[in-house]
Amino acid sequence: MKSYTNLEQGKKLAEILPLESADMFLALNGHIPVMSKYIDDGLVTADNTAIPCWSLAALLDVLPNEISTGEEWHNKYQIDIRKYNGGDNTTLYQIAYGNNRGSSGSWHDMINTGERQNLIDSCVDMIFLCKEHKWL
Amino acid sequence: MKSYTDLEQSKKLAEILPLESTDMHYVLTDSDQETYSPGLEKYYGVLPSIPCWSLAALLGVIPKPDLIQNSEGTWLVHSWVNAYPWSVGGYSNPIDACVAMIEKLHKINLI
Repeated sequence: MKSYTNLEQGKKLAEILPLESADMFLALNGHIPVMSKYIDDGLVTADNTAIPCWSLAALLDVLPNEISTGEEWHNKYQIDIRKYNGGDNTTLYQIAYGNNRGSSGSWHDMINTGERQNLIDSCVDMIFLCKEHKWL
Repeated sequence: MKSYTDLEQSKKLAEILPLESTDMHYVLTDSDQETYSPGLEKYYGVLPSIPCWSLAALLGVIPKPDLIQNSEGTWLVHSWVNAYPWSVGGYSNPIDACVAMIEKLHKINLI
């Protein structure tokens, strides 16, 4: 199970997210994750010996709880985080923004990340999708 | 923002969930004042530490979870067991919503 962003994801996210949104950091001497606020601990060092890292809760905190593409109710989409059986004893995860505007009141995805094997990767994908569409 | 289960939640969950499902633990840092600090390693049943769950680990133990944040910002969880959606909602953060769902499913013997 992946509980937080890896080194590569942390570096990429640090370019697009406020550093205050990270709830952990990875110390580069051995990639040891430490659970502590990145900024609070004054670990933004000139030689970059620590980089920010996000837990799943911190990633979800960054994502908008609602995306609006218009004023009407059917243009407002809520975040939905799913886990399901992918067959062959695999578990798949997906993050979507959607609403119940389907003809039978069923859930309709406006956008989703596609299936991933862990939620951290799904969240990182969705953050980049939101950034690309300027929802973030 | 809440990143992992608090001490009280962790103690309750330790009675319900398999300890292999943890991905963190609290370490006793001051035995006089019983102060615990979170550590980012799995709990291995060693005292005086207490198991702790991140959001990723909590979602790992809920059957077919669906975690939704509504437009007011509160969190709800559905869990699909035998094609029936058990639900809890109205929580200000996803950790509390998932803990409530686990406790609910445990009460009706579904976890």
